[in-house]
Amino acid sequence: MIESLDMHILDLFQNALASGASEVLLRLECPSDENRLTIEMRDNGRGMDAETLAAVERGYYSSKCERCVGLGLPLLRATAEHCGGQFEIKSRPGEGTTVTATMLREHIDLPPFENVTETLLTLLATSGDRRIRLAVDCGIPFELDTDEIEAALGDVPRSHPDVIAFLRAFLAERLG
Amino acid sequence: MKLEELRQIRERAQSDMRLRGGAVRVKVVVGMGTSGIAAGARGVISAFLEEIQKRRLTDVVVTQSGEKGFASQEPVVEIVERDRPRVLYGHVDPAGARRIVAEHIVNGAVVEDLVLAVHEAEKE
Repeated sequence: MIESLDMHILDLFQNALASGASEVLLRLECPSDENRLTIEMRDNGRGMDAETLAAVERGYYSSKCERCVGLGLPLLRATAEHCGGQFEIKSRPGEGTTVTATMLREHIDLPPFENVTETLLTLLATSGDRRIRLAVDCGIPFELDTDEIEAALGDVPRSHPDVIAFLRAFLAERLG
Repeated sequence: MKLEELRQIRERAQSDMRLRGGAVRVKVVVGMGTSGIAAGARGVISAFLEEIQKRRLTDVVVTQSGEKGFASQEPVVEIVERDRPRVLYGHVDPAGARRIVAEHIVNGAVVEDLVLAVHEAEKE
């Protein structure tokens, strides 16, 4: 079962990769002075037609599909709606997909974060040469764009162990 | 911690790469479909990234894939190396991931008790 918010983020991310996206944006907000939490994943992948989207929204999307995009979406929808928030998915063929889930940050049933630093590091470090952007407000707000990282690194790959160490420390410092 | 610090890493890494060559020798592919994630693939990826960082393995990359039809054996990890058979491991936990790094990736010995399948290398 999906038991943590990290799992939801990783599941959304895998959907984005499976959709053939070359760019993925994660917006993650849980400002300490507000009772809300937002997870939004936007990709430029192949998107879904109205029929597929409707199936996903109803939560009947089968895991026996050719490409199993959407298996975790009904679970995220359930989490959002149960925790006093909303779930929205926008998609069009050829125009990518945006999934937005909101929750009340202080809801008693809100799943915990396991390790948000490691989760965001996973997005940055295991996505090959895709462009990943993070816009995060869960501690010290920050934005991070792998294009900027690569501009600083030149021909050194972002999978280099020293880069991973840097990114882990960079994220940990901002996520507390 | 500022992004500018990456420039120092770049200089160090570039001289390193000149010394050893920059090619990727090993690709670690972790199954991150919903069932893999639910079975703990997140911790497995973290363990691989930590080991690679600790051992400074500059020729190893970690990537992820979707469902591969091994739901009951998740988390699954495939090790892909040039000119060597691809090895698929199952029921990998963080400790298993550390063993795969130490025994397979560093020492070249397959971790027999975690193997699900071995596929011959494709000729290039």
